[in-house]
Amino acid sequence: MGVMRIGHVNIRVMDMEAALKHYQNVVGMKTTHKDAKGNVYLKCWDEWDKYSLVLTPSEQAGMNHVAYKVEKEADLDMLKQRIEAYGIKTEMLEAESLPFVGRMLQFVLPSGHDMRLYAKKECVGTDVGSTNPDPWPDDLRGAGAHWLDHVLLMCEMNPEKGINKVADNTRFFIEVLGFFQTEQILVGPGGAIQLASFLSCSSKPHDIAFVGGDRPGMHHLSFFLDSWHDILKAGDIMAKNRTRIDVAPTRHGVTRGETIYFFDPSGNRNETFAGLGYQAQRDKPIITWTEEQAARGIFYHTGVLDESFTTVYT
Amino acid sequence: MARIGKKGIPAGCLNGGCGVCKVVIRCGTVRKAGAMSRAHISEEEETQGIVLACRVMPVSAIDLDVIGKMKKAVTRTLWGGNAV
Ligand code: FES
Ligand SMILES: [Fe+2]
Repeated sequence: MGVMRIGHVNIRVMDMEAALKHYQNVVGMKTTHKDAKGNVYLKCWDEWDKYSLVLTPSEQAGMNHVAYKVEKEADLDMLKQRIEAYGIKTEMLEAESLPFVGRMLQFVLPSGHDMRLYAKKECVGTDVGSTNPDPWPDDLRGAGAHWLDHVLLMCEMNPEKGINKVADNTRFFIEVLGFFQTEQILVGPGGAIQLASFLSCSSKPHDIAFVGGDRPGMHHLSFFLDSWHDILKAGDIMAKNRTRIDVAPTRHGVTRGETIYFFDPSGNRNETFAGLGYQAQRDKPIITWTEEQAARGIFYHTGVLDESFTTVYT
Repeated sequence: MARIGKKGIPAGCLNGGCGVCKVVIRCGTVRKAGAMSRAHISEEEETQGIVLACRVMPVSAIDLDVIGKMKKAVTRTLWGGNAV
């Protein structure tokens, strides 16, 4: 199936100047484009397409849409059919509806989030190029994030009313978009409620994640770093810049990822994520975290989950 | 103001986006120190002294009530005994 990876996320920011300072100086992205409407487009040094983050000036925080890249133009037509056969309406947005991007298939996830698929985006190359490249460029800033790695979306969950958008999204991603489940958190009698779900479309432990909350929203967007040492350094950079850190360097049980949670100047949660944990494969047994160990799945060292984890998001 | 942790004001993003620090100023004056998400504070609410505590600075002694709160019920039951 055609989905390769996360392509970009479009988030709302309330103070563009502060947002740019954050994503450039702390995360380490570079601005590659600004449009007439005031949107700013940025990329990480190790990404080759024109941008992976679109900042939209707004009076509120949160996510406008998330887009994944498919391999071929024909995948868009095939997926359009499959998504509609599943009962979800789609719209094919014409090329350049977003700058430098070909036609985009737009639809709303069962959880209510706006999702897009596209096959073409202008390729500008990584900052080290493709001919005899150095392992890293000389002008790294801040954390020097390699790439936008994944998003975690908060999905409505109300077991009494039988609402579980985590499970609904999971089914859609597996049956229609061709993702596979790597890990999950199951709670309730007999583990009947899928409270959190981690899905891959590559060999990474997750390319998207869903967690239950009482309203839909964006929990975080995550940037990839190489190693635990890079996580430590990223923490130093956040301290230097007085970035609001949510969760100091630690490890997730789920995905084995090494992590920092922090907030951008509009309160959108970011993550720096290191370590590919393990190789995700379609035939690998699904990892399940039980209700008693759910908090350890999220924060492995302490096994303590602050209530802000499922309450604070945009 | 939320950063001080007074009056049991929940602290989340501290950047005006998440809304958990929503309070109503009963008396006294505050100065706005940054953007507050319209998803959490409407223009009308703002005129009534309803603000995000993380985005205001007290100018005088103030009295306030907390409106926003961390939702305990859902996390407590669904995330098992380890959630706090
Ligand atoms: S703590 Fe998030 S809006 Fe104040
Ligand atoms: Fe993450």
